[in-house]
Amino acid sequence: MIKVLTLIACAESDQLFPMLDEAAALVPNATKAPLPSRKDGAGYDEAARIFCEFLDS
Amino acid sequence: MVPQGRSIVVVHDDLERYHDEQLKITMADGTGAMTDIRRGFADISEGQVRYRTAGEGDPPLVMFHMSPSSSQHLEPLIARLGNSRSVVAPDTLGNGHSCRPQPADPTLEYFAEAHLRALDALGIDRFDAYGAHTGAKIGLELAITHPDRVRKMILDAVSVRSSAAADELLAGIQPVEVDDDSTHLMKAWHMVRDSYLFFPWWKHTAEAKRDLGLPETQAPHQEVLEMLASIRTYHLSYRAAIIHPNQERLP
Repeated sequence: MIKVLTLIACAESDQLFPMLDEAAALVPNATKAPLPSRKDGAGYDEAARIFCEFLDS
Repeated sequence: MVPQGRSIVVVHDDLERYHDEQLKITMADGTGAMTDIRRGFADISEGQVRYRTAGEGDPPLVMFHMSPSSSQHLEPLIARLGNSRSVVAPDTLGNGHSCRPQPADPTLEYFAEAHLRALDALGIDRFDAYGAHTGAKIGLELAITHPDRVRKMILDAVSVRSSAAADELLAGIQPVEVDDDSTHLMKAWHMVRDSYLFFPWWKHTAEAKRDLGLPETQAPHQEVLEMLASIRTYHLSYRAAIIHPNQERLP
């Protein structure tokens, strides 16, 4: 059982993106975050912003 | 800044300059500032664990990479996240420039515990965790077994794969032997380059095609350098992650 606050994320370009909902459902009270593709710097910027928002909340 | 433990050696060498060039490419069209990334080694009983680190703050964010890869793959995120916190990203044993695992057939639990021992060596007690793919399974295991040490956790692309897909992956993930004819160099290049185009990288079919496209050539070049350092052992953590029954570890 996971008791740690968890963010379940996945980039839309990732092969595991279709599993995002299923993975999030398996972790109690998880926050789900679909992320943009990280093909370029803007995608990394957005992922980092979402990760920081979760960690600092 | 990493808490100063008893086993820290920070390394700067010619390779670092290539890293910097690659990072500029990846950061080019983003808006975030770039944080300097340093590298070091932590001593554990098996040998040394290489890690990348950036930023300052407490608790640190510990980042676990995907397979086949090393903490090099996380540099674009490390550079951004290091703006607001301390980041530590170790190479999983058998990957990048970390030592090889001790057991012949190591489990995911072993790799997770080895990471924890490296963090102990660095003086890191409580931390936030980030993991991608194999790294997500490692983070998950640490959160389950050591909730007292993990404050928050980010699972980036965690697999809930079917056993049939796992069998297919296991068949293709094999060590690459170093040969006199140097074919291992080409195998490493194609493993890295083709992973941008197909999943898994050896399955060159329309069904396996990915939409990522190829990055600037410097990116796969840098990844190949890391891959060559661990080409005979990279498969051990990858296979352990695939076999690991993470669905059974979840409620």
